[in-house]
Amino acid sequence: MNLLNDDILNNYLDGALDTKERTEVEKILKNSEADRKRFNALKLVHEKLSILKADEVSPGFNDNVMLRLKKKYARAKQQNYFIIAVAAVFVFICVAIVGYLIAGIISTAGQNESPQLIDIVNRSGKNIVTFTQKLFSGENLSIIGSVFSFAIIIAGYFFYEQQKRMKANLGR
Amino acid sequence: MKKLSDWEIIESVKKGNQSDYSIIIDRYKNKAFSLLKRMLKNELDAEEVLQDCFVKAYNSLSKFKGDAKFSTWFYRIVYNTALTKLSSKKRKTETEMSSVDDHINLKSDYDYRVSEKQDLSKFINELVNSLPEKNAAVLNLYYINEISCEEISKLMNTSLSNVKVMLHRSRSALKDYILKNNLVKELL
Repeated sequence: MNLLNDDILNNYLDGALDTKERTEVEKILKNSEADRKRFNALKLVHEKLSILKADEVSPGFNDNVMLRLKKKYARAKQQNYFIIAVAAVFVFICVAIVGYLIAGIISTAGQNESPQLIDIVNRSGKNIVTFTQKLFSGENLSIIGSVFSFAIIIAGYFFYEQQKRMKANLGR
Repeated sequence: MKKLSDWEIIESVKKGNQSDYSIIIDRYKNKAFSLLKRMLKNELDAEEVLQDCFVKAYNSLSKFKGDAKFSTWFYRIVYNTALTKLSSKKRKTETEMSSVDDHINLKSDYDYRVSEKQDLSKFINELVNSLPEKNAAVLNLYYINEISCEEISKLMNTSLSNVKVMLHRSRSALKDYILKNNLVKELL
């Protein structure tokens, strides 16, 4: 008959019992062969587990991880450059439009000594319309179309890459 | 040569020396691999998930402030990633693992040849592998990763008493198995 349960044996093995409990367990282990047998088996398990060695990963594991990290950061850098380039083009267009407007206002103000504000705004508005019409007519239209197509192709490529990466991440 | 501490290596990596991260990989890859292999029960999955864990850890290095040991922090990533992988594979991890009251049944038909002494560690390994994921993880963390029960409870996000119960039950299950199959003499 077992006098000691598994919890007590485990705690005794871990040294988690106080002196009084330990003495009592030792006394029982001395007299009960069944308990001694169970404790010895438990101790054996503990000893065998203590000498277990870690499994080894396949050779080249480090290189694979480092390669993944390098690729990931190279791609991030590339994306950053693209974003910066797009932002720069956008800022350039904005600055050009604002510059054009200011130039228009200054030249109009130069022609008239006391220009009315409404006139200036009207003239500037007309100038913008004329500029836009010029931009999207004739030869200019094909240039603008080409630039936009090119931008769409590049953006499409990055969008495709992002989707591919997202799909790969979801699959993991 | 002076052995650099984890913290020193991490600081160096944070400063931009990406290649120093391979020292960290070298230091933890095998122990983390053992943990994953025992939890996922599949070598290929374990290696793939381990790569993800190292990449994840690298990306989160800025969040590591050194409050806890790097090993505990990293093994928490490994453990949680393994759980995510298990749930994505729709395995019944929670029902199998969460309750410490579950009875552990080891396969009784394990064909162990007494004469194969050289395969003793393989035999013990296979016995541990046949434990439920969480129990195998606790044994692995305690014996192979050499982490204390307190730290295991932190990284598994469970109570210390739960960890101790799981550890005791896992050991007892192995003990019952070797007693039932009269393997004590063979293992001595």
